Amino acid sequence: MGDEQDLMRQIARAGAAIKPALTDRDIERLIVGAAERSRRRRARRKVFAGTMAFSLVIAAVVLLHRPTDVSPASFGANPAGTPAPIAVAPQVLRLTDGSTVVALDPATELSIAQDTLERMEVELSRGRGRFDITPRPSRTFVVDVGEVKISVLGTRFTVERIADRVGLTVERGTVRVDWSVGSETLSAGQTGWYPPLMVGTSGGNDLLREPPPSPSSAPSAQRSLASIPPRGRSSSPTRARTETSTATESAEQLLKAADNARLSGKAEQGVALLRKLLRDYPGDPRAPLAAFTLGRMLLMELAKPREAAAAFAETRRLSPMGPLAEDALAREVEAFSQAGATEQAKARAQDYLRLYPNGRRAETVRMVAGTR
Amino acid sequence: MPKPKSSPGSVLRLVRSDEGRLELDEIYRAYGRYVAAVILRLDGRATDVDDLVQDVFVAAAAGLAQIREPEAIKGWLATITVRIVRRRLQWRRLWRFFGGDRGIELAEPADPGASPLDRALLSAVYRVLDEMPTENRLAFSLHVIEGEPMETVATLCGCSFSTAKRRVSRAQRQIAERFSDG
Repeated sequence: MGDEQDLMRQIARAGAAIKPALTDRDIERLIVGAAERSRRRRARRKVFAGTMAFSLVIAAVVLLHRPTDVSPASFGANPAGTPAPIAVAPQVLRLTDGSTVVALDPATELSIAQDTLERMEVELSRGRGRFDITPRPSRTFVVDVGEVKISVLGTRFTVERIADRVGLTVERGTVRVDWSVGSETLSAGQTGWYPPLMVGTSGGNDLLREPPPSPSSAPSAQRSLASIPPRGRSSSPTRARTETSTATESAEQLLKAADNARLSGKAEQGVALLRKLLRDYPGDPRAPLAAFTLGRMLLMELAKPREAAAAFAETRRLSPMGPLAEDALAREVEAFSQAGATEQAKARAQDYLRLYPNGRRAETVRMVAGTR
Repeated sequence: MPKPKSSPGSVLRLVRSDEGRLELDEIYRAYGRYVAAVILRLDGRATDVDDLVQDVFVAAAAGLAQIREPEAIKGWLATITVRIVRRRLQWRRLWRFFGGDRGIELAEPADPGASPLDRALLSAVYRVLDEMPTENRLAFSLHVIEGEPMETVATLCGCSFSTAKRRVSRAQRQIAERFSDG
């Protein structure tokens, strides 16, 4: 019961951080959108049948007469404020801010989701595009590709969408990639696929062992939590706990400390604390969450895919039917794939497809398994 | 904070002859973020927020004329929001039953520095919520994630206090079981 209450408190705390990042302009946009929607609904009630027939005719005409080049004017926000899907391949699109997009294959589909002074948002529905963005510090340029968002200021990069995966290659400048549970920054010359596939392997007990010592390795988890500042604050001696507190560290404290360590940029220390939690409290309901988080940190922050795979495997071992199990298995595939362990990646991918044939990551995992 | 300028197209006004003019635009400016936050916490998907906020605004325009007390506006908007989200969740469950709705973009804390723990936890929680009956999910989200007292949950869900309590309890049990299963 106590554990359940702890869990609920933790959910409440995490939930309180869910806030839509709406600017004043976003609110204005929504008001305009609502007004437009309201007007459209009224009109639709009056001439529903006629409108439907007319829309079908218009859509057919638009599809049959796709322009071979799209002028800047046609790329501005349309009067209705709704995104207008535009099939672009194989043309060069010139946006109103001087940026250009080259469709790199015939199936590429792009649309303008937003075009304001502060923000240009282009949606890539399918295919591949090369974006050459004109530097404009006052304006944010976002490429929206499914659940992945790519934000840039001035740069050149290529985006490719295959099923639910988004490939990104940066030629110049820097871009930020956001997906549902993470983000990453890519610089010139770097390439990545998003959302990163998470995947795992067996041998979960390896997880509980500390990694081999290295000059940059994390401080031992046995170390006191004293050096870890609370979230959002810098380290302060007056806030430090004493060494004697180590003996009474609860799973909850370890989780919080790991959290604080990560937010303070001490990923290695966070990893050590999560390992300690898994070693000391393997039966705690939070252990699967700790193992999953450990895997993510190892994979995405410390670039240790093999150790990450073990952590994801441990997540599944601790809670094979839990809500993190599917993601953990997919991450395990990704981790092995990143580590170059092709056979293990394929084996885990096959496990995933057997357990979750209609899973969210099935298409991507299928590619790894070589079955599509 | 300077008041944002209203664009010419943003007129959604409501005239009340006995109490002067109630401007919907102003109400939406005041409560837009609140509505969006409730939607995001109940629904858990960032991709649908804009669409649902606009649905709430449109639905509210038809009913705000009946509101006599300004203090009641927030509650009225919350009631509409829950109704709109309920409809969306029910539709999604039906769609999932027929094999659709495989792509999920789960709610993400606004703070980009939010911990991976919180992100993973929320991802897992919303996954369990997606499997749960809509009414239990709404009651749980309102009470635990949104932080509403049980009386308000009952009002917003249109059920009795004891029913709301029972729904929250079932949802909590289901989540706890999924997090502790072996």
